[in-house]
Amino acid sequence: MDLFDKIERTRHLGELFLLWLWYKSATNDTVFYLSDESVLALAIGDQIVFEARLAQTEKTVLSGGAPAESREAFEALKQGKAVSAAKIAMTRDEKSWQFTLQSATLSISGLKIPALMTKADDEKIFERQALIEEADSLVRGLYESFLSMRLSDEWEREAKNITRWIDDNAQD
Amino acid sequence: MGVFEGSLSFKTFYVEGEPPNGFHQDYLAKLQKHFFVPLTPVGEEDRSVGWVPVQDPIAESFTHDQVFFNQYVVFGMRIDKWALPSAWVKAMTRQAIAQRLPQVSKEEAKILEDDGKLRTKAKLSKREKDKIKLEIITLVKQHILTSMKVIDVCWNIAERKLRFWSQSQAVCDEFAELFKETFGLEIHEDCPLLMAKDLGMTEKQLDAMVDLDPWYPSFES
Repeated sequence: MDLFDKIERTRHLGELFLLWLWYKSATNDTVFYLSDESVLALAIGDQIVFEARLAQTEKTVLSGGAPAESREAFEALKQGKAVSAAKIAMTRDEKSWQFTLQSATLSISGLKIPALMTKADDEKIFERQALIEEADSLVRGLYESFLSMRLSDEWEREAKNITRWIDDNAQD
Repeated sequence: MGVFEGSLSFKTFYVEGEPPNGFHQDYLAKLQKHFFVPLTPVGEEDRSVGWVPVQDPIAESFTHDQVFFNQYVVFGMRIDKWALPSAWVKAMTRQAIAQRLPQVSKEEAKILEDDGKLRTKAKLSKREKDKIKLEIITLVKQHILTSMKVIDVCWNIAERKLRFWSQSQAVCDEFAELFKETFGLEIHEDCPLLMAKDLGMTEKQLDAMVDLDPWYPSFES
C-alpha cells in the first residue's frame, strides 16, 4: 500500500478524534490533563458540522447556542453521521484560543489567538507565530492522547462509554 | 494575509528534506527565479502565479529582510487574473462588428436579402468576429487592473513545517507544485496519519493505524 492509500485509509481517525474530544470535554467538565502536567480547558463551541458517512455531500450544520448539548446533535450521531468539523474553544494559563478544526486534514481555520503583548512591529511576527504554534501543539498533544487510547486495549471500554453517552443524550 | 495580521485560516504542510548549508542566499535566489510576473494587456495569459514579498506584493524583487525572520521563511503566493467586465466586452464587440460590416445601399441590401448566397457577403466571418473581440479585450485590459490575491506562506525551517493561508484544495495543490518547482522539495498536507508520524509514532504504531477499521457507535434498535 503506498503513502497516498495509507493517508486516505486513516482519514476516518480525524472524525473519531473530534467525536472523542467532544465526549471527553462533556464528561470531564472540559478539563484535559496534558503530558507536560499542565491543565487545558476545552469545550466544543457554537458550531458542529456532520456529514453522512456514505454521502459526504449530505451535511448537517448545527450552529448557535450550545449545539454540543443539543438533542439534534446526538440524534445526528445516532443516525450514523460523523463529525467533519467543529468549533473549539480552549484555554491554558489564562490564554484562550478559538478555532474550527476540520477532521479530514486536522487543519485549523478562523483561529482567534490571545491579544499580542508585543508593541514593536518587527517583533509581532514572533509572538503571533508562537501563539499559533502553541495552539497547534495543544491540538497535537490531544491527538496523541486520543491515538494512544484508540490503539490500546482500553479502547473497547471507551467505545462502550461513548456509545452510552450518545444514547443517553439522544433520549433526554 | 495571515502571517503578520488578519485572519488565521491555514493548512499545515510537512516539508521533506533538510535546508542546505547557507540556505538563505540559495532560497532567496530560488524565490527570485520564480518571482511573480505581471500580466499585460497584450499578453496571451489570463492568469499569472508567482512569489512576492508578503508585506510588499507589488515589489519587483525580494530583500533578505522581507523573507527571513529567525527560523521562519516568509513569502506570498500572488495570483493575478483578468476579471473582464463581460457586459462591456459584449456591447463593445457588437458595436465594433456593426461598424465594420461592409457598407451596402438599401437597394443592395434588398438584393442581398433575396439571395441568400449574396447575403453572406454582407456579414463578417467567425474568424473576423473573433479578431475584433480580441482587439476589444486588449483595449478593455488597458483600462482595468487585474484581480490580485496574495496567500501567505510561513515556513518554519527548524520544524520542517509550513503554514499556507488557504483552505482551497485547488490552490493548495497549485502551491505544492510551485513550491516543488522552486525549491526541489516535496511537501505533504497534514492529515491524521502524517500528524501521527510527526508526533514520533513508530512504524508499528503507524501500521496499526492503517489497519484500523472505522469505528462508529452501534445502537440496539
